[in-house]
Amino acid sequence: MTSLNVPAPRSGGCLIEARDVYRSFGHTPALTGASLAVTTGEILAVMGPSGSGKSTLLHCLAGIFTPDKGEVWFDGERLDTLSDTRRTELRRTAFGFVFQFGQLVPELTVTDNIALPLLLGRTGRKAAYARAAGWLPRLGLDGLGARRTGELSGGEAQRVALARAVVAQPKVLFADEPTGSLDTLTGELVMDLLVGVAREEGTTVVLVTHDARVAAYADREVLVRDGKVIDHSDLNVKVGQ
Amino acid sequence: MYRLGLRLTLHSGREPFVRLVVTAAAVAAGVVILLAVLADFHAFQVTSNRPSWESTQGQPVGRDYASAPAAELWNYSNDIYRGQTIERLDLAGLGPGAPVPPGITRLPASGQYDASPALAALIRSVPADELGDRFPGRLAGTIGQRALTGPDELVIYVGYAPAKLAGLPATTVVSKIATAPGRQIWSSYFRDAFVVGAIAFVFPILILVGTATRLAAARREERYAALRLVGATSRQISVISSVDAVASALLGTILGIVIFMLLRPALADTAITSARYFSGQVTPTAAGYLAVLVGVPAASAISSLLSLRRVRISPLGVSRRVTPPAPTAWRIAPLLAGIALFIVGLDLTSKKSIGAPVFPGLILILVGLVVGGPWLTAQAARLIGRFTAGASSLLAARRLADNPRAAFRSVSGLVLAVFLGTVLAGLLPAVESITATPSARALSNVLLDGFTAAPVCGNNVNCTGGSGPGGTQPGATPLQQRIALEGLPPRDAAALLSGLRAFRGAAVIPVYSVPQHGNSSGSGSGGPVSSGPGGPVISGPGGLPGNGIISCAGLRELAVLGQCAPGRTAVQVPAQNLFDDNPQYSTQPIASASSPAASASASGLYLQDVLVKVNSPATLEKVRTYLVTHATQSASGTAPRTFGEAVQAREGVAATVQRLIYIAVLLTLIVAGCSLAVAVGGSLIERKRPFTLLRLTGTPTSTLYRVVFLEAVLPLVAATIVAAGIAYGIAVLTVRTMAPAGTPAPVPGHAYFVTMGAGLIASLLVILASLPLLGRITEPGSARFE
Repeated sequence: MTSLNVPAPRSGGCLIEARDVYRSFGHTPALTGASLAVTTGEILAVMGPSGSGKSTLLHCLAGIFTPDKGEVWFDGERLDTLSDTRRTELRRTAFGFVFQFGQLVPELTVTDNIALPLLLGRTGRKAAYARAAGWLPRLGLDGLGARRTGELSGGEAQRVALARAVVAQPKVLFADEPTGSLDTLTGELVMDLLVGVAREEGTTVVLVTHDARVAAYADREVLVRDGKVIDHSDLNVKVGQ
Repeated sequence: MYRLGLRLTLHSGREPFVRLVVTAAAVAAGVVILLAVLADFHAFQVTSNRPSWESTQGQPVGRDYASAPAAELWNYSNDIYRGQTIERLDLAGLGPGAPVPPGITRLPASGQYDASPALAALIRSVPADELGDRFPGRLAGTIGQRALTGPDELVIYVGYAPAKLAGLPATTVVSKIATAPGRQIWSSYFRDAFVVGAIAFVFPILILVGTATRLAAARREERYAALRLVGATSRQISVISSVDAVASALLGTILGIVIFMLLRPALADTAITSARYFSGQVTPTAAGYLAVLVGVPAASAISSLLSLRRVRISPLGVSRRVTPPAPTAWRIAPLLAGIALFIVGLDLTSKKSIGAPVFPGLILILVGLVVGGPWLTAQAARLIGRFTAGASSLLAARRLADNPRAAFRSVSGLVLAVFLGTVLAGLLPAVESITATPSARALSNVLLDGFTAAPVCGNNVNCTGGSGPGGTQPGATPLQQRIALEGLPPRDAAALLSGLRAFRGAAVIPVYSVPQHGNSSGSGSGGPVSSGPGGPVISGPGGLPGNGIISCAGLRELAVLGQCAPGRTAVQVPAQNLFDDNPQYSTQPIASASSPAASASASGLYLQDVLVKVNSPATLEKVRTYLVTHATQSASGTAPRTFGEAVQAREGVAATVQRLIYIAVLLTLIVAGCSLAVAVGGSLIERKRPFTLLRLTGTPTSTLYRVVFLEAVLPLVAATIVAAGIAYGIAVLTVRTMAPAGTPAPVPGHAYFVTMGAGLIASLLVILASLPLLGRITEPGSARFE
């Protein structure tokens, strides 16, 4: 494999883009000139071994980390130079997140957790809960609305996390090892739902995984190694389609 | 396992070490306060239980008193200097075997006196005519600690010749000095006040220890899960957890003991009640030290084990915490029972019991506030969750509803402080209003001395009168009887009044006895003599015993005692009212327009009482010294005092209880503040992950700040309102039941609102001070979740 920087398409279809991004943690470099472009509506899988920097790349794309060097763009706007307040707002309104575990608020019920982004966005209480309740049947969470998240199984919790990530109709869904703590069957169920929702809502998805079976759900796959995006494959055939 | 536990506690990196230090510091703060309380209580107990020589009882002086060689004459009385009581024992040995009072090795001879160190220093430092001249002779020695309650106590043993002392009223023959502890009427109340105060802040101290022990419990539990993965049993995990808790608590306890020992001299120098204790007594007993050294780490270990009960630590991780059941309404049963018990206690209380029956109810209310607090918190959380719309109030309300016990725990000490402070603030104005009445205040610089043998007075606290040797004893001459009934004869009276009028800054108002039948010329015995409650009574025309004649000009100096009708120069008044033991009654008007007129001439009249209005403390002491040395010694056992000093004596007990309660409130606020700081900080560390994830997903920091703020403030405000309301209700009930009719409803003074406001603001500042920590530890940039 040759070391390539993935070309950064500058066409109108590009929604989110990293250009030659560097990021270190102390003396440990995580990204060393990573470049990546994601088009609107695309499901992109970012693969790589543990410690390769794929999660760091995701976090830079989501505006969670500020790169030490390089640029990050979102929807024509430079992301890495925005204020923390503006980036927080973007994460609340334009991005959704699904992590591997521990992302739900344990004191809140399922419906509370799903409605939380809407409440934070000043949506009225009634409207927020109505929209949140609408996601329960779509993700197979019927009857679980009043349960506390601590009482859910792993798969149920991830579906709640997914519902919370998409309830505000974000433009981009960032998923970091969303099935990492699930068994194969449950993982497939979650991925089916994630991809299905993304297609229905037209949401762009950036998916970090080390599991090839999960990556198979993506339209496109990139590989991160030693802090660089060094491989690129364009998957035309998606699993399940 | 113990060694592993210690290793994990001490050598696990920076964060556990910081946690160890913070926990130890919090425990040390609580231990210092606990030891200080134990030290003062020990000093109080030792002082209360010391042999009370003042309680020595003797026999009346008979004609053959001198034939008792192993006895001595005693005349015990109280003097006053600038509001401080001086215990005075005039004594005269009757033979070589006479008992020696504690604190000295031999009896002072006539013309000598032994004084306590504090009194000796005072005598040396103030002008003789203000104090030293009261004690005939010279200072011969110092009274030792055995006779004293503290280094500030003023005690004097004055040596007399037996013949002189035998002639003074109230002298007794003593052959054995009392060694049993004195039965002080107020000791049990001080003890009860200590108990109430101790309960009020033992809770916060236990909570502080428990909260500090549970600091970052979640992260420790993750470590335990890893241990379970490699084969540790649940029991072994419990051992490791206990070792962790005990190690930090033990370190904190030892640190606290060391700090206490360094601060002990300063504590010994502080008057917790009304006076200081001896430095050597202000120390916990060895058992107290041991109890703290063992008890605090044990409490910490128990707290740690109890917290483990909520989680199952399996090899796969910490099992889902089962949400504890919501506190039921039964939790407020102790509070309601306490209120009911308090009301019953009020019903049962009387002037004799003076409130003792209410203490069980009061203690149960304190316990009930702590037990019922979580239920109140849960109800407040439900209300907030129902009636507010924002995400921050939703998060805060749900968290409070999820674990109201933990939420209330961190503020329970503050709530107890509010309760105690409010009760006190509600009662004090009532106590003051029935004691320090406006008329009492107006007469605060007026000294009263009486010269009859049997003054009408309730107790020694306020009684000043009584002079005239042996006037009521069998065999007294008619003149002696008359002196006993009517006071100083005219020539003696004139000399005394002349001497008093020589003092600059003193206005002298004499009160003459109304001549009894046949006694207008100053001779003769008057009517038939019979016994009355106040002593012998001469019946017949001439007015009731105790009625006096006072000039209208004198009344104008003492305006609150009333005024004459226009045109009169002197009137008859019921002067015995001046000797009531309650200043509220002793300062009521005695003259009015309807007071019978009397002759302004004092010729031939006996001097019953004298009122002296002074313009300065120095003048007061000079006048008092003059009266003590120029009027025959009082039979009542008390030197003449002002109405203000009578109020001060009456308020003395209330003031001491108030001081104890305020100290308890202050200590509680300190401990509770530490507890709140630890609880808020600990909860932030514990929720670092979910809060960081919330920030990652776009929750503004301000929302999280509001969440933390609401979580701490809601239980504080809800429980504080309830506690203050109950406390105020208790104050109102108490005043209505125990205070005289017409006493105004209790209204806390500005000091209460300032103190409570400051305490609540300090709590808010503690909460606000933790918010930057929240911002720092939840930085999205520092989140690493791989």
